[in-house]
Amino acid sequence: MKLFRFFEDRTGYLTKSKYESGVYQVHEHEGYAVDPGSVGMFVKSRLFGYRKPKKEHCVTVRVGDGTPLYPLQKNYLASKPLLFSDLKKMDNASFIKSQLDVEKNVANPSERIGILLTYGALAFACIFTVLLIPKIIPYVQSALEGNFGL
Amino acid sequence: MKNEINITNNHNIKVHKLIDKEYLILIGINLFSFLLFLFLTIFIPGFILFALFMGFGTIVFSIFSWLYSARKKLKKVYYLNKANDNNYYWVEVWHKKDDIDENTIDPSLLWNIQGKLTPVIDNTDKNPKPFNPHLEPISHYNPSSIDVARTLEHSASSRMLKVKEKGVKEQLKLLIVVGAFLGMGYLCIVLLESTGS
Repeated sequence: MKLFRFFEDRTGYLTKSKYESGVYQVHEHEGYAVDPGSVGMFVKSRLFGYRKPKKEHCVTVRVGDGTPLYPLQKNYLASKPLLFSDLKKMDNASFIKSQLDVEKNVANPSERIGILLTYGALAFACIFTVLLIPKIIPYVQSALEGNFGL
Repeated sequence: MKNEINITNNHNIKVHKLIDKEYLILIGINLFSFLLFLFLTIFIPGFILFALFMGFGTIVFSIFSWLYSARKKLKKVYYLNKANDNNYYWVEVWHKKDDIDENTIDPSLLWNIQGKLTPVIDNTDKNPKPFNPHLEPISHYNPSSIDVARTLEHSASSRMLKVKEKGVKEQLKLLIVVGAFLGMGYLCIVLLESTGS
């Protein structure tokens, strides 16, 4: 989902967010509650307005507030803002997802690195073996000739 | 400024008229050189390379000078519009830069959007007004954006739920990795020795 984020210092950013367990996540330290009523449209221009505009869904937020904005309401604020009790639902949904991931045995990043290392080491070993074959043949030949007179 | 804008092109400048005259002259010179070299290839075929170079240069120069001129002459404005009582839409509109002078425009309309001073106008009422979502301060009684983001953080629970592999599986994995690395080292030594001899 596209987010139009407004900071208190009058800076703004159009950012892509990731939907996860009822939260629009911008990064680890910033997320907004999913609220269907707050979703609007964003008509994005293309090539300085010469090409047909692109339409996509958009949520307007003010950075620091977990509740998305309702731009048509008074002061752009939601009539029913997010409560601390609502966080419980999100927390539970996210916990269940983590639990499922563990049950499915999804490798975490550190494990993935270990797996990659293993594959890397094996691949390098194979490459070196292949490279060594032409080097070893003369040794084998001379050893056979010296020992068995072949 | 129009009250209701729902298109992204407000400048109505034709594509070819956007480019600056000085650049047009340079493009003309480039194009003439290209045609000249192209004509000369009839007598000296080796000039085809020059002709291609000039042709490619003309295209690249035209594109970049057009983009530069567009950035110089046009300015982006964001409008918040009302579709109906429940739906809104933002529109990114390009205006002539002369129409929106940063020095004369109401400063309350200006926002620093993606690093550029850009007017953000609320068009949902009869009269356009500045868009200011921070008129009412953020309440401490409601969750902040960091509180919401924290609900997704469950790495501690994942670690707790994860049972370490029992038996020889893990040791075996480690043995394979160590063995592979040792093997690689040994092979390297053999390879280097054989190259030396």
